[in-house]
Amino acid sequence: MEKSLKERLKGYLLNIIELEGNRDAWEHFKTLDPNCDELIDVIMGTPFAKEAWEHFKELQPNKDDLLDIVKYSDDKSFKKEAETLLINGFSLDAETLESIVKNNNSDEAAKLLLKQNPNNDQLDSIVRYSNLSDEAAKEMLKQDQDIYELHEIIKHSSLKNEAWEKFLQQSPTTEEIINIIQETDFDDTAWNYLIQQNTSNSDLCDLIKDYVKSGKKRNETAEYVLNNNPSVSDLIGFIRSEIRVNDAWELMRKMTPDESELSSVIWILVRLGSVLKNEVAEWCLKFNPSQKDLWHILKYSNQKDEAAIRLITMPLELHEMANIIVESTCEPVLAFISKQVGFNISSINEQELIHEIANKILNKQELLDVNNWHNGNKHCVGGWAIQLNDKAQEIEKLYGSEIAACLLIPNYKHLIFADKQEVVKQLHEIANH
Amino acid sequence: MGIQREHFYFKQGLPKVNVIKAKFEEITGLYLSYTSCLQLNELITDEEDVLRSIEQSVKGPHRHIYRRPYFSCAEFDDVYLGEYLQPETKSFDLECGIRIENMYFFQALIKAMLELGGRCLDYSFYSEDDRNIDDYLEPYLPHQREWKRIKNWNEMNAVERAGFNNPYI
Repeated sequence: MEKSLKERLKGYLLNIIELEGNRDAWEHFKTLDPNCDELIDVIMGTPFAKEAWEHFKELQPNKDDLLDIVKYSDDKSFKKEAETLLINGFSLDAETLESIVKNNNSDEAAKLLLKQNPNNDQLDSIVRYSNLSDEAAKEMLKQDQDIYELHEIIKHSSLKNEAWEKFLQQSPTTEEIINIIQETDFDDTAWNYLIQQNTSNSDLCDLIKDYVKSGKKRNETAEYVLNNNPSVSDLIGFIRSEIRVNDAWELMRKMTPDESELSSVIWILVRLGSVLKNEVAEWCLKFNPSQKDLWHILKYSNQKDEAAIRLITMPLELHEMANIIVESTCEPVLAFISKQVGFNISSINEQELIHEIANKILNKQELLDVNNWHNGNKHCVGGWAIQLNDKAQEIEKLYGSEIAACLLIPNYKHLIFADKQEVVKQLHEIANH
Repeated sequence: MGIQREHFYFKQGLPKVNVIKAKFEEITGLYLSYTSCLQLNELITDEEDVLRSIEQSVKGPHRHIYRRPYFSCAEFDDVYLGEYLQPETKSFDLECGIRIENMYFFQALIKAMLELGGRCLDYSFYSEDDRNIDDYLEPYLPHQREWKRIKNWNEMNAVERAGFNNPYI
């Protein structure tokens, strides 16, 4: 019972030590004869790690305790000291030595491991984590290796040529060769091999994608692909990844994309944004973008009027007219939508209306609420336009605020979704003219 | 069928459920329901170990476990709370199936969270700590169309309601 209470108390104190770094809790904890396991918890990431470490060593920790420090401590000096205690104080099997090699990059443990007839995985660990990679690689190359182990030998040892020959015998995929280019210093040989194999542009373009921006052979690959009949899809990758953008664009604009390529161009370079999105949108409009593509051009590029004019020739739901008119109020759009909703816009004097709105708001700015169309006696600029026109109020009831407001003040629709500071500033300018 | 997801962060911790309900009702005029593993006045985890310990500590008819807490509203599909969630949690996901007719509810719920001080958090930020989090929070600009078009449901006409149906805009 007494022991159980003591254990519970230690557990409780350990929580406080770990969560709060509380010194009183640590001082009290020490008086309760903590064992090695418990001290390891203090060593791992509390402010009392050094004191706990000294105490831990006095308890003559066993092999497993020391190996835990090697494996899990973040403190390099503890890890190294634990390694020394392990190597000098215990007879270590190959598995333990491998663990030390992996966690401490220990050449000493690697040396001892090499004397113990290590298996393939253990040799692989020596290749990856120690400076004895050549010795281990030499042993590994005596046997058959899979492609990933050969990759590691190429990456870490100087036996690259021998490993590369075996690597090729295994018919590596393009991706596996690209990994050699990206991750090892054997990139020249691997890249030349890819080119000699007539690798497709599409596969080569994996080397230029933006997520490998600092990747090796990026510029060489770009140069090669640009001179070897790239497709529209290849060139999308160039522009998206911002490499040789102007060259890629010069080539692309001379091409005729098919329907699928056109959608890809619009989705990737216009919808997701690119440095050339407006030029690209203008180019795409020369072809025959689908209705879905036109929505993207309308919303995400500056080619709004052209996209809107095409959209109004297509079957539209009423609510889609709102999506068009908030982006474009060019003459054909206004004529089409006003006709659809039965609102004669020639009866509106937009200049008089915007001045009236400006006078109202500038005289009493509390009447402006840019976040809501209508909010009691407050309104946004669009809300005020509607409020001041009975017919527009009917349009709003039937078709919504956006259509009503944009028909009333088409040249000031940008004020409908602007912030208060911008609205007030622009209304001052309007009032002063 | 995909998932629409928004990742949120509340610097001051999550608001109480009743506060979210009140804000949602103010924006939409609709009643918001919240279902968690238990009838608690807090957002709470869907982590199994926590659920189990709560279940054991509560007797009576409330001993139901729903695997994921969720918000529901009128005829819309439910919006689920994702990831690890407890009252002290500062960030969480809102998720719903991509069904265009559900977008009003989903976006109105997001607006309610934003009005209560939450901010949409970029997915490249995973940690729960506060390091440079401001760099990952998207500003809330209520005057912009995305938020301003979310009006009280019963004050919107059929055209405005249908406006939430175009997946391209």
